[in-house]
Amino acid sequence: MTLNYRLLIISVLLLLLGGAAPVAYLVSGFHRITFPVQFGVLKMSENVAGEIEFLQNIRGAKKELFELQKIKILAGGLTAKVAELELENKTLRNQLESPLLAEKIKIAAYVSGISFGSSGTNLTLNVGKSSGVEPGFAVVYENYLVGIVNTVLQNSCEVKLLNAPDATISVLSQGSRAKGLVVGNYGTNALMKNILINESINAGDVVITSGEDPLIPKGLVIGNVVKVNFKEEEILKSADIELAVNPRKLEMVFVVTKEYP
Amino acid sequence: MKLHLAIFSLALIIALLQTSLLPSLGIYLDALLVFVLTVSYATTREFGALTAFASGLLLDLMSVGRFGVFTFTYTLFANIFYLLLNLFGKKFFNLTFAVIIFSTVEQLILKSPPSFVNIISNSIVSAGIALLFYPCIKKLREKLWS
Repeated sequence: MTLNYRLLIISVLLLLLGGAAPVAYLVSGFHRITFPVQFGVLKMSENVAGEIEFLQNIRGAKKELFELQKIKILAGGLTAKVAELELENKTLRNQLESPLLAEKIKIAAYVSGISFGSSGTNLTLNVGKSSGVEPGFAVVYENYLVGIVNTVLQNSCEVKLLNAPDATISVLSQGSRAKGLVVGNYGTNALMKNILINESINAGDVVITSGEDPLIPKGLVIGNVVKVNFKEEEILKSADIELAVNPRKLEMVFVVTKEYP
Repeated sequence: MKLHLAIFSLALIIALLQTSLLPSLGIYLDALLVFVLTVSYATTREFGALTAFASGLLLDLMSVGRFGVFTFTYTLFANIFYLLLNLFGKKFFNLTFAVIIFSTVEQLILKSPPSFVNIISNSIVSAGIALLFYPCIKKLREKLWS
């Protein structure tokens, strides 16, 4: 009998005895070795499959990352826009709540440029004739006087700040009511002059507009007295004024039109 | 003897994969039967029968079905394969054809109820695997046969 037939007979015998208790016992004993190995192979293959899936997902993740970056840029733009709107809203609200100017007509304007020339500092605003702006109008920020509109173009205008030597505004000291004229003194300072000798004015006094200029409302803050200049032989005295508004920090201002009560 | 060791090691690996990895991937191929038929085709009648018996035994020990089913099926298939090979010759009864026939028969016997599409697709894939196995086993035989 050849090996083939012997193996076939043995396999038939195994099949017939497969259900018998001793064989089942032996097989279950063998399963105690094989099943953990099979389980290990399965787990290992799952790990390998997980790694392969991870590698396959990298391309998709890269694309998603690109999309997320795009969304982040858009979101950043939106956040910046919202922040700007909030700032604008706050500025407008503050301006509307300003007690002295509450009932006056104001044109909101953005500062589009600032120049420092020999005649002082000039601001360029993004409003002009088309918005109803005319030369001589007061430019304010909250309750502070920023400057006077000087040159007006169709869609822009130039504002002469208070430190310009040819800017002359009637003012008074808020505490003593001493009257005078503020003229620019270059730099960041101005000079309050033509104060009568018998008028009282001291360092630290707040200087406000007197309202004598037809286009400039009364009560707008100009700045503070830093130093009082007085000489015995003169009949008028003067005071150095530190201006309240720093033009470099301005972003949005308001032009007060002449149609106020 | 080296060939025996190499073939049985391969059978052990395939049995291990067939009872753990392949089902988890949704592949229900009897790769070990394909291996047995390929070894039978590439080597001698006795070696083929011995491989079939050992492979069937391994699969029986690694699976939870009735013990002896695979041992008997593989040994029987290996013997019938040689009978048919002797009867028709390698020219008419080649490996691909044999794998398709035996794979189909095995699925019809062991899988209940058999799905016709699955049986055909599995048999064709099995034939493809046999074509991958064959050059490897032939190379092993050339190198390790003593």
